[in-house]
Amino acid sequence: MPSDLSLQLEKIIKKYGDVTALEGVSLDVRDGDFFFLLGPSGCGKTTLLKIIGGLENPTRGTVKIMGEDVTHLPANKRNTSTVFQEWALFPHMNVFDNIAFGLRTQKKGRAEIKKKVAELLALIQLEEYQNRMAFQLSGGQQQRVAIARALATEPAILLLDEPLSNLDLALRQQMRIELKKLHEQIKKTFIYVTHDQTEALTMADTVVVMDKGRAVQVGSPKDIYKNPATDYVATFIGEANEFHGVIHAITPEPVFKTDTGLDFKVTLRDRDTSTADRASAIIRPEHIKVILDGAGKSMDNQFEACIDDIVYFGPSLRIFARLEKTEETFFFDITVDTQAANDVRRGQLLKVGFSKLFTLCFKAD
Amino acid sequence: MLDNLWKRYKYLIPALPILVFFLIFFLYPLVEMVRISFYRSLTYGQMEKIFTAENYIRFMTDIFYLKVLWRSFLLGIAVTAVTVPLGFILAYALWQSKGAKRKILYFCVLFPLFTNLVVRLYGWRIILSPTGPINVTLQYLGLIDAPVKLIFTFPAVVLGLFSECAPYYILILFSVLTLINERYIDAAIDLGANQVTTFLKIIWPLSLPGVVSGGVLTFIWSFGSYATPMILGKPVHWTAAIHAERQILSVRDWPFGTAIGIMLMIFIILVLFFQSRITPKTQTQRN
Repeated sequence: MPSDLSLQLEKIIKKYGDVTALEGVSLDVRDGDFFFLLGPSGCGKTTLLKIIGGLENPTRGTVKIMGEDVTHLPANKRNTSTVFQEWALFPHMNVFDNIAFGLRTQKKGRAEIKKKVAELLALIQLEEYQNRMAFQLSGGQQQRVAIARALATEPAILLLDEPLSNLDLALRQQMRIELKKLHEQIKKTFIYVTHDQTEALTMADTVVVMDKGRAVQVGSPKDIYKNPATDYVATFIGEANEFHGVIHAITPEPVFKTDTGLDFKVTLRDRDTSTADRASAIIRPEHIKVILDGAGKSMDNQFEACIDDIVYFGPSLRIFARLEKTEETFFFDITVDTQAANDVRRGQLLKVGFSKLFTLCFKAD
Repeated sequence: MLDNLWKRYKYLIPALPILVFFLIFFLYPLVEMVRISFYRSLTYGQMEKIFTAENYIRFMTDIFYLKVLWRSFLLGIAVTAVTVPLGFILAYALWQSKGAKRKILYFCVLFPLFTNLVVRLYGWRIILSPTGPINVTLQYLGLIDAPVKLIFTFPAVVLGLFSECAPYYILILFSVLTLINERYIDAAIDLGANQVTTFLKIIWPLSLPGVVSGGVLTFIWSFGSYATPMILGKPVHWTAAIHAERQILSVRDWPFGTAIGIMLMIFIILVLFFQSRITPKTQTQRN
């Protein structure tokens, strides 16, 4: 057993009656990792978090924390703590008592509890608030108290169940940075459940993308963004144009043909793809370029497109365009303050291109 | 001015029928009772229409009626002491159950309310009688030689009132329990608490508002009960309410009977005032 793993999941299966929530998930989490479980609602990520914390039992499979099999250990005997989605601060207790709850169940001494709570209050910068009741705090403050309460018992792993989903956007962005800092400061394993890919991309060391009870891909955010294992991952992480069609040719180089009859060169991502297979092609908006006169000879795929709409995004413009012949619609981004950005007009015809290197083709399931 | 009044109170218009009903059938008799309670009683049910507090003075100085009041109070306390823990167990079971099981339990709690109170009380009389199922079973099992006296005892009155109050207590407590976010329990267990600690530190304090209001309702109900002590008890178990009725209908002493009634009402208002002081000010977390 590699000693630097804080959590090992082996073939976790969870069934509720006839419904299978998890279909054999195996994961290894490095000690001190900021680890994300990312997926749409209903993909089993919260169930998996509950199984790690001991609030649910897996139907089959093994959970190991710090190398020790804890599969049959109930939540109150496990070395994990959870920050719940609505924080679940005890409404009849003040901030101090909320944070001290875990320490009191551990039968710690009065002086020790006082010292530890003071430390945690300093960590979350709420020293002044220890006598306030939970409902007297703002959302962001409640959030921080929930984290302090979970950290009080010094868990080996901190579990966070969509902790920022109840906050407004500005506060959420601020809390992302604070959480990231906190993680660097205390160097514990954080396991974080979210459906928000931006959260995962900006905060995670490692992300596992989940879909329908399976772990589809595990890797660093950069790795997953650049080399998505499936078209599902590609469209779920970051934005992408997706085209459906068939493989038109494999040699001399792979060509994909959309259902509307457009063909372009692609990079095949699945090994056993052959001609006439159903497939989908993914192109990220930043990989489609406007080709100005003379330039762009190196682009493998070039098309005439009509601009349907232009949306101002601040640092970039998002262009919604339509191909002249086949009516395929797609979108792409261009940086403002460039020649292309200054020239584009709605209804304009222009030449766009994309390299086959960034045109990823996945075989359909 | 008139316009202003209309704006402020027009929301009361839909409530008008019920307000009128209360005015005629509750407030008017009440005022009438208060008035009569200050008259002087003469023989054969006649009254002298003067203002006197002698009925109240009689009630508060006669050791017999003070004892009656004290016994009513003890009865209320006894019924509450039985109903609060036993009802809690049932309400808790109802809260924890799901699906068909919850529906069946819910039905069992409500079912007694479908039957008339007096019918139910005569049912208890049969069950508790010397030849009733309890005594017969105990004798059959050889645990007792002769029938035990169950009916017309204090415990019989308490039992009858418990079966009367429990459904209301359980429903009040159940509605408070359903307000408790299940995440609080998850969080407590997650922080290392066992079942007992979770109950004592989380569930019990959060259910207190229901326990207090349900308990006070049980107390008031038993304290002012009439039919149950009458049917399941002996005159020694009679509450002040029964004595008020007897003064009015049997002795035909309206002024004294109504004075007892008003005293009971004042006592209950005091209890409610006390309750409002001790009710814990808990807030449920809202999102």
